[in-house]
Amino acid sequence: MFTVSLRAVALYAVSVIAVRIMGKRQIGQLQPYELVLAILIADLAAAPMENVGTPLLYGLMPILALLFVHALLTLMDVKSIRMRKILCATPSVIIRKGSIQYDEMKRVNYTLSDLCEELRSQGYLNIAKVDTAILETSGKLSVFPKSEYAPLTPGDMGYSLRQEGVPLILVMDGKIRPEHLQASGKDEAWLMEQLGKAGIRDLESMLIASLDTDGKLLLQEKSKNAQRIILNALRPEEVVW
Amino acid sequence: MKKTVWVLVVTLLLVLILGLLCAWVSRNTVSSMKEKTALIAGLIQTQEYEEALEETKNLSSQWERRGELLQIWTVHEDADEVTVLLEILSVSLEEKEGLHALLACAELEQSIEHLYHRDALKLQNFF
Repeated sequence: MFTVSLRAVALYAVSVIAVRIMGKRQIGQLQPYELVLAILIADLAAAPMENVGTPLLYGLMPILALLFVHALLTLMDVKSIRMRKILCATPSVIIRKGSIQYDEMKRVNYTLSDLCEELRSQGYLNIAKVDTAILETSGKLSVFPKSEYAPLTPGDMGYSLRQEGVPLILVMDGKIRPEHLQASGKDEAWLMEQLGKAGIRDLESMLIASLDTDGKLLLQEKSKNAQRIILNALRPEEVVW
Repeated sequence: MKKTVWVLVVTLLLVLILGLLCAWVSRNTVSSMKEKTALIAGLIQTQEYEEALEETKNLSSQWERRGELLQIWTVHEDADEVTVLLEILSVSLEEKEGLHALLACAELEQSIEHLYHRDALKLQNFF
């Protein structure tokens, strides 16, 4: 029984590595050739996992071969527009200037029910508010409302706002993240000084310390009734990342 | 892009090297064992059972050495079949049962051939 378990662990590890090599995409975002590969890897790993009489290599070698094909197709996808069209198809405009493109829907086997469902899931109850809807190659529908129904932005109001950057997580679960602390241009002594200002002495007790691009340091301890503390830790000109 | 090229090269090399290596070891083992089986069959036909038994023992020890390695990439049932047939052949020769020994020899030859032919790059295997 240990052999079966060890084989399962080995095959699981190889499958995870294979899927990891494929790249960070969710199932819904997979291109057709990637989806087929994901299904096949699962099936190939299952066969030697359940039968000890089948050599492990019978599962591993086809996975390697499929990874090779996947890498080849990915290169072709990136390098050649024609190949991309063959492998991934092209996006289809389902609603153009507010008008439903029925012929295009028929061509891509997309029903009105699918369209309404996808519009609802994106917050559009009334199809009349949609100007453009594009069915992407991953199967996701990108929806663009008519200008009069689009959300108001600060730009529309004539406001110019400072771009908000990525906050740095200086402490996570009681541990300092050195790469983030280094990116902030500060050191551990400075961090401990800031914690001291908030009355925190023990770094281990920290749940999170996050420094945003406005120079505000958010602190929260792990204890049950811990309150969120926000300190003005940096002046705007001190924000270097 | 660089990662994809690396994956492409490494997977291609692994598939080619492992594939060729396994095929080479299988073919060599199979052809050498088949030669010995043919020799044993000849000795049985001339009723030289003692010599045939000696050759069968040599073949069995060769199989013990190579069989474990082959089982890394051949179906275990196929390998077990060769082991069982070698045992049957030995017993038949010890009992000097010529007909049984010849039959076991023929089956053994088929089973040995099967070890390589299931994986051989042939059109009939592809389909």
